[in-house]
Amino acid sequence: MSAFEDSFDHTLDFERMVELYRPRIFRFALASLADRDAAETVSQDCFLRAHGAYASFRGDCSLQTWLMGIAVNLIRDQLRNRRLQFWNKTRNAPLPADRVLLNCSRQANDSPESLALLKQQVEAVWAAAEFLSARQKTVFLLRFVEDMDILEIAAATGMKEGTVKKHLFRALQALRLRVGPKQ
Amino acid sequence: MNGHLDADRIARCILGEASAAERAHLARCAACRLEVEELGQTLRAFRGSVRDWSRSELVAYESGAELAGRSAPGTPCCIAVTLLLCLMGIRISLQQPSDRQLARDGADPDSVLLERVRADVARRVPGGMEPLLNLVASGVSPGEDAQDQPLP
Repeated sequence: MSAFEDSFDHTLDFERMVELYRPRIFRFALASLADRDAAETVSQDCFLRAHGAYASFRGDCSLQTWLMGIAVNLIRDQLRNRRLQFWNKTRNAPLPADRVLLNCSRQANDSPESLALLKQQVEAVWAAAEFLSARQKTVFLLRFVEDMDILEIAAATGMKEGTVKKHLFRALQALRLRVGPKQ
Repeated sequence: MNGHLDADRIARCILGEASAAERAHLARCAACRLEVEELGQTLRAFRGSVRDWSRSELVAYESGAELAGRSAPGTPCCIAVTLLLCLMGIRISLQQPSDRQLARDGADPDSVLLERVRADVARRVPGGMEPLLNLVASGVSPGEDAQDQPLP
């Protein structure tokens, strides 16, 4: 729980919350939709909805979980949008290489070969993620990108704990098949 | 536990939910340990790449929005000036032929306008439909009126 949440009360400045959580919401939306504009739209809509419901937030879960729950619904709506689906299918999806940024190359101690291999593995994760169902992908991203635990994911997605685990297991199995062991 | 960990158990280990037996197996089986470690490393690299990607996209978006914001005050003026120029251009181009015609013919502007109104009133159909009317008329023999044709 962040310092912000420790001192949470309903009189807190909403702008502070936006400043703190916007990058996370944007990141999750971007990873889910692979579209910067759509991700920005989702993050703006998310805080718009949060603003409307802020007074009724009872603190049953953390602010991040609450906001992620709103974002999950918005992303699901975006994915249901036929027009977006059409464009997603017809346009050239961003290359995995575009998403595999310099994070790997920053590890200066690694050899170029091991960095190349790691980059290849990360690309394989992206490729595997494209084949996951929407729910599996959501759960997978919340767990392995946003570092949320199973209970938080269950709260954010409205799934039962067992369902979250089942989706995670399936996602990991699919991933393991595609990534495979390193040579 | 016999053999190596299956996919389910590897997944449990990755998620930090391994049972005592699975943890014991990992401790003594180098192959399974390596697999769990490598998958974990790949997932960490994936997380890092998503975070870097998101950071760079957010910066790009914000810098783009900032640029748009800077140019915003001037933009409406530019649009208004462009529209005004376009409208003036259209008006001039519409006026030019009639002025030239007037100058050439030396005719009275009022009589030219009256002629134009008479011509418009004399039309049976709007100007845009004239080609269609001509097409229909060309399929009818001379002296026959298209409206007199019996319906099929």
